[in-house]
Amino acid sequence: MQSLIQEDPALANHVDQRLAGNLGQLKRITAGLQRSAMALRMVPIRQAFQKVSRIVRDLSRKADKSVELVLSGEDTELDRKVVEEITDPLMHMVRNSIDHAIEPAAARRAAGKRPQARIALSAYHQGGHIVIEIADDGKGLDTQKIKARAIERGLIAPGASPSADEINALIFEPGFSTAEKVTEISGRGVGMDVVRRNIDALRGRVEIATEQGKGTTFSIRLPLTLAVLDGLIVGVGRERFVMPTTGVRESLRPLPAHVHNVQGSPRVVQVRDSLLPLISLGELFGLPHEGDPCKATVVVIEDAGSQVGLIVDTLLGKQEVVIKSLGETFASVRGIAGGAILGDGRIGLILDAHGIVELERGVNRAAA
Amino acid sequence: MEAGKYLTFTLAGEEYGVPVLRVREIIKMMDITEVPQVPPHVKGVLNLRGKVIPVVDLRLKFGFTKVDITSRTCIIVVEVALAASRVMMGVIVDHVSEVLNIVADEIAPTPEFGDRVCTDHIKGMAKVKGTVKILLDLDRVLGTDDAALSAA
Repeated sequence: MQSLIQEDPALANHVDQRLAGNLGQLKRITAGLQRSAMALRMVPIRQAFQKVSRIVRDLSRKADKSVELVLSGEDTELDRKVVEEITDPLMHMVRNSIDHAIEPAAARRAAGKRPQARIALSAYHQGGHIVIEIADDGKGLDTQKIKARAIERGLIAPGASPSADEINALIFEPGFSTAEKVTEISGRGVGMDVVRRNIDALRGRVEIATEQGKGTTFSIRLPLTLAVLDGLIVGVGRERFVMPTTGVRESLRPLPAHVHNVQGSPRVVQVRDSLLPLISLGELFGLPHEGDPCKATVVVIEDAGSQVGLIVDTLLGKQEVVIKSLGETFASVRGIAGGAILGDGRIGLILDAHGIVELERGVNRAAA
Repeated sequence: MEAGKYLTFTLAGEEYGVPVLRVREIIKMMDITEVPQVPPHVKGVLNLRGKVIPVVDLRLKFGFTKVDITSRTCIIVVEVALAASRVMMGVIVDHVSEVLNIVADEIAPTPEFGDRVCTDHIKGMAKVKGTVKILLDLDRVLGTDDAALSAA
């Protein structure tokens, strides 16, 4: 497939209709082949969700708690390997929710909640990541209890005052459990550390949002490392980068009136009603670049809910790329999520919106 | 010191050797994609038939001056043991010479140059047909410190 596209420039030199025709034919065949190969790699997350729903049914009967499972985004496509690796952690987390978080019906009624508990399992793309959320409406994490247990086990010093998030993250420590008794379903404290290890292995992150009495939401963010990615190809200097389209809101060429300078360089752009900070990719990566954003292009990217404008020289198109890891050598390079082989056989680096924003903040801090 | 077959190449007029068993292939100079935030001797990554491999310019790594790419400039693709895994890496050299069978008798230990010269990455010196070939320890040259350097 690649070699074919590599041959393409040669095609321009040899104008031969039959050759062109045959090459076109070959291109169609390989494109079809690529599509089916991609399709083989990508599976909807549904099969993982289905296993979870069976677990919910079994457990709710066993624990005598009525639980409604709400699924959404079952069609979100993931790399087969990710789906396989994530199924066990998902099942474990749901098992935990039912056993620990969800109160018996009587307690729920007393707390003024619907007797039937609700667990929502959803999957969606966000800013170049795949997010899987498990939200229950149980009693929430008991931060005080976790803290007490952590002090008991020497995980935090008695005098320390960690934030609630830090405390909640302790549930992923090996052997950590606040359950008073071990039930048939869970409570040995083994498990959440395995969950985290599995997610780490996929280079993902778990976040916990909890409100006592209201419920807990676990968000698993998985990078696209194993997945196929729809990318916007942008050019800076003679390098090309791939921006995951999921993280791109829009692209525009700003009018001079809409670009505002801060300390001598363009820092802010006005897009309709909002002001967005500008980051020059060329400047950030030390590449020759077009300094004037009005002659360049601004790609508005989204990271964790906030938007920034990324200044690039040109937009080159959209392409589906397979993500390749850059390997250990470049493990510490920030702002780059991997590499992808572009149509002409060269490598385009895949940008990581989150890393870029962090890097820019770091640069600014260093400059200040 | 290991005797055996070594691939020799030239770098700034000197002959170097690497164990031939570690060499995967030799390719001509290719289009390399630069990677930001890395030291200058890490040239970037290249596409080796669908594999993304890092490329190091050995001239810059050893502190020699940069020269223009000629038709003899080559990339030797070698296997390197990093902290956690074995990876393929490309090494840019001036030109590749030949594969030499070096016997144990011909290899002398690296002489001491005093504190000022770090010889950790040199495995030994081979005297073959009146010339000296510097035998490199690939893992030392390309391994750990490179991975660490990318943080700098």
